[in-house]
Amino acid sequence: MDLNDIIKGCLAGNKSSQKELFNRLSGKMMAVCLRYSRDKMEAEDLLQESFIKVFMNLASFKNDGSLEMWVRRIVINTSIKRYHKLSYQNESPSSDMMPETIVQSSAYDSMIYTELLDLIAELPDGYKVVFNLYAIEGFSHKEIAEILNIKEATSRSQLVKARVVLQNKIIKSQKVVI
Amino acid sequence: MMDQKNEQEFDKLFRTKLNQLDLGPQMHLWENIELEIDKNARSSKILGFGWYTRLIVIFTLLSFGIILAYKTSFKSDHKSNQNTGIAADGNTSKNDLFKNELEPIDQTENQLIESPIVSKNNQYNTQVADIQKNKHNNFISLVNPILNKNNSNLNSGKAKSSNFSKISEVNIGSEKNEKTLNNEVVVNESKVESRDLNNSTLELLQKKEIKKLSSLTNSSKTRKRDIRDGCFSRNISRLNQFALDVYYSPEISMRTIVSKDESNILYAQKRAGSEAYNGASSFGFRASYVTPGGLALRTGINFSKIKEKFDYFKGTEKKQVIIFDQNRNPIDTIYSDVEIIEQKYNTYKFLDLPIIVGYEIDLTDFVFSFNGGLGINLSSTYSGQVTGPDLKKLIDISSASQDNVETPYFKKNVGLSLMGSFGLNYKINGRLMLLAEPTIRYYLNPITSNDYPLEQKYLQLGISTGLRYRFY
Repeated sequence: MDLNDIIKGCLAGNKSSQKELFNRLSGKMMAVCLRYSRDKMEAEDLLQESFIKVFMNLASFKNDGSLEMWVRRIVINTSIKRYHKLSYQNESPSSDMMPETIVQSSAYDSMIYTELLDLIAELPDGYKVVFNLYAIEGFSHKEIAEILNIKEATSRSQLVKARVVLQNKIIKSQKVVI
Repeated sequence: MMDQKNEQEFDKLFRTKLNQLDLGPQMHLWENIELEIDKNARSSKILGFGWYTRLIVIFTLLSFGIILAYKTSFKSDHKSNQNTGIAADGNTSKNDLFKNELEPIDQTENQLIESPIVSKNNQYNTQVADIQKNKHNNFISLVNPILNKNNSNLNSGKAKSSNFSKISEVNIGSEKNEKTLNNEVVVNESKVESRDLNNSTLELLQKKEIKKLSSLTNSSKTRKRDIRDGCFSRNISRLNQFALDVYYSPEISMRTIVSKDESNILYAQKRAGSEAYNGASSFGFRASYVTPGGLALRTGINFSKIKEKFDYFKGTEKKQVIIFDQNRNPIDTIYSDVEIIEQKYNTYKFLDLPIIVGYEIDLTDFVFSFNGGLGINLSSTYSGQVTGPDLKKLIDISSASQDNVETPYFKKNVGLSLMGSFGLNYKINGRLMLLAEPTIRYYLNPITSNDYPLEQKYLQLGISTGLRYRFY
């Protein structure tokens, strides 16, 4: 089925079109949700909430851009809203901040996505959101500061700390070359 | 310590492996979503009251302003009518006539006259003193010479207010009536002769007075009345005024950027985070017509400009810092990521036709004014760039539009704006005034079109300074 037909079907309230749209995009969006969540259950809640918003607001989608990008933005925004709601910002990091040794770049290549997702999931929520927005979505610190209602300096320091925590975890997972 | 030169590669690893990751359909969640969609579809839609609410607010405010202005203007006119003793139906009763007699009516001779109330009280005080002094004096002997004098004055057409006062004085001095302070003219029955004479004189005076009062009310000559309100002296002009203003206003521009739907909240935040107010100003001219009651109608041309700074995040670059010891030998090298920010400046220009209703209070040295109305946008132009809806590319705000759509994202005409101001204007001389007027302007519509995913609106606060020239 063509994507335009799916959109038209969704707008007309056609169940099979809605199911098809979910079928096509839920895998990628679940990956986004996992990056912003603590665990799979929370990610599934986020995914459901996001897709309900997608179907309720599909009429406002301008068919000039990518539907996937549009849905992705809704997912990210829903995740950030949940982050604000739960006020995780003050949470302190669980692990020690200084990495024990240098991690060589070749060590990363062997890691699979599930390991990376697990590493991100274990990050304190404040670090996790900043790391996702900066390293993966490509926002600047100024923009992140605006989105999360924090200072730019806080965004910078949280990113640095997130990297350090991730490095520590990589070292501990013994997938590194010392 | 983490190897900082690998920071970018570290981020890149996560980006490449996770950004486009697909975990496959999550169909086990579909059932819940489907149930929720059905539930939401059944709930009734809330009507968009936006426009209705705005219209009601605008009309209520305008109506309230106009009513208030008229009410104040009516009160002031009514007060001045009462003071000059002009009867509502245009007729002048005997009592009214005596009221008038106590007041300095001949204003052509007295450009600035004290308040009639004050004047009246002063006269009464004098009269009471006279009453005490002349309590037993013969009434006729007092009346006759005065009436004769009045008659001669009337015959020669030179009746003066001072003479009317004397008549009043005579009546007040009559035996029964110290209470003629309430402007009751009661003549002692025992003085019939005098009363007849007095009545005939009064009729003559009354006719003359009606003529005089009607000529006063119809006169086109400028007259000013000084009403002493505590420490202020308030001028109520009997004439319509015309004035021309030229002004310049430094302004503060407050912008709101709101996403039209959930998906663009990030875009709205990105724009809000990367753009900031840099400066704003307005200048223009306007013509004013002010009624004698102080109601002002103004229109003209207003040109306003808003400048914003846009920090465009181009990405990051690796910065190498080499640390030297005291002997200038390199001992360490630090790599760090530095954000590359390119600064751009965007300009928004608006040309408006203001239609303003105001109320002016004309004091001796100052003119206070309260103004409110609508600005009709004649044209809007823009220059510069902002982040596009895809969050990556830049778009040109002067011409950007959706693909295959001619309507630009930024409107060429933004429609109506609400305008309000409070003026404290200093009179340099009879015709020139210095303007100092805090102003507020709010564009009712966003400057962005329906095709653009965000709503961008402006509220501007400023202080208009300039000159006003009164033509009269």
